[in-house]
Amino acid sequence: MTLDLSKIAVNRNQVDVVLKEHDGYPAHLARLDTEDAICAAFGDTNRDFPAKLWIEPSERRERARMNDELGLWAGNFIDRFTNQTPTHECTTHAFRVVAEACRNRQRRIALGGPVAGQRLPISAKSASVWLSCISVYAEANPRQRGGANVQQICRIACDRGVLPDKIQPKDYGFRYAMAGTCGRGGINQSSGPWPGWSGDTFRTRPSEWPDDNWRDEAKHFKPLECVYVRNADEFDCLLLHGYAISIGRKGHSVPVIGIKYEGNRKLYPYFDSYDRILFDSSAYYSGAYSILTMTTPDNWDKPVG
Amino acid sequence: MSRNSVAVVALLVLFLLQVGVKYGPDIVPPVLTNDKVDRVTYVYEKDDGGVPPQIAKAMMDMNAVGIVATEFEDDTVDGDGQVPDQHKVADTAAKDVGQPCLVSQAGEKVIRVIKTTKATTYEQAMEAAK
Repeated sequence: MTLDLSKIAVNRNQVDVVLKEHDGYPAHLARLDTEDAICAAFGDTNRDFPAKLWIEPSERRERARMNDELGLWAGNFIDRFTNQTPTHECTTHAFRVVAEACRNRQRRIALGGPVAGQRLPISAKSASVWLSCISVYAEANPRQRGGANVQQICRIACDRGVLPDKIQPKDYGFRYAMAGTCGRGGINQSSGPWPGWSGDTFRTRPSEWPDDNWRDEAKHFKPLECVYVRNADEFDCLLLHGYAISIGRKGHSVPVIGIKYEGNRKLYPYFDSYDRILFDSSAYYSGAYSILTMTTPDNWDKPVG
Repeated sequence: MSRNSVAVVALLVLFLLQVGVKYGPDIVPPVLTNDKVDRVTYVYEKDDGGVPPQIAKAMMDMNAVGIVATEFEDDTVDGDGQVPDQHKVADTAAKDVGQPCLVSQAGEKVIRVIKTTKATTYEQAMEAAK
């Protein structure tokens, strides 16, 4: 089964949802996410939008139709929702969708999109690895409350990578797995205590870790090439090519995973970090970025060797 | 030239034409082998364009029948900054033929390499699985 956005019915309560208060992307942090700041945060992974990914506006609707028919949206390469309630982890929840979609797209096994509250049978047969949001968030904001912006989490992830979640669709033999969230989590995301951050490592490391060499595992889940999305055209072209894009708007950071054409309008579906799919009717927000490539393992079944 | 020689040459030409028609844009003719294809890698450089939809679909269908079909974008490395072991054979084969291409393997053996374009059809891409 593949994700066909044209077949998803949209309830108007799912469109342009704004949270009552920020859940991790407050305005004072969002203001700092300029193009220069985010590109600097990408470090060596920073790339310009590849010109050859341009799709003429007149061809985009047909490309979207093809993506629906063939299952090529980024959302087709995601197999779980996460739930951050009641934390301020949203930027890392959005990041993990962009990273996991990229990695799973590289593997090219159709996962079909997430189903709330369910473990998909395909996950255990694929190369899907679920990433821990707080393994990045703890370093980005050691105070825990207040959130983190895009440049903070991207700098960390692009520099040293991300740890795997304690819950995985199959046993990969990870030695340094970490709880996925300090929030609600769910069947596909572990919830655990705040690890904190002190100096250059976690203040409280999980008891099952053999030592503090967790960076040896995190490096296997690292963005290699990232792009700051400069305008609505680049936004649409990247989505049409099957890349997920993280955007921040009105206090919340979300990962857009495709384009749904409805008559004369476009809706942008995203896997919200509250176990649900929602839609935005606007084409583009600032602070948008995508991951073009992730590290690839020597063996998909043994991703850390 | 004797009549028999002409007949042999004619049959050879017909055979070669058949191979060309069936395998389309192949540059490297397939290795005649009974080995079963167990891996197909699409080797490409995204700065030259994304993965064409028909090739992406073909790879997903190959995965569904048990072939390990993956993308290998030219600059991708593993966590240690090296070409991933699983892609080394395909990476070398692609350098000989040019990107983008589909590299079919049976274990470490390259069975065929299909040079692709944006116009490569689903059926042509699926030849990599045979």
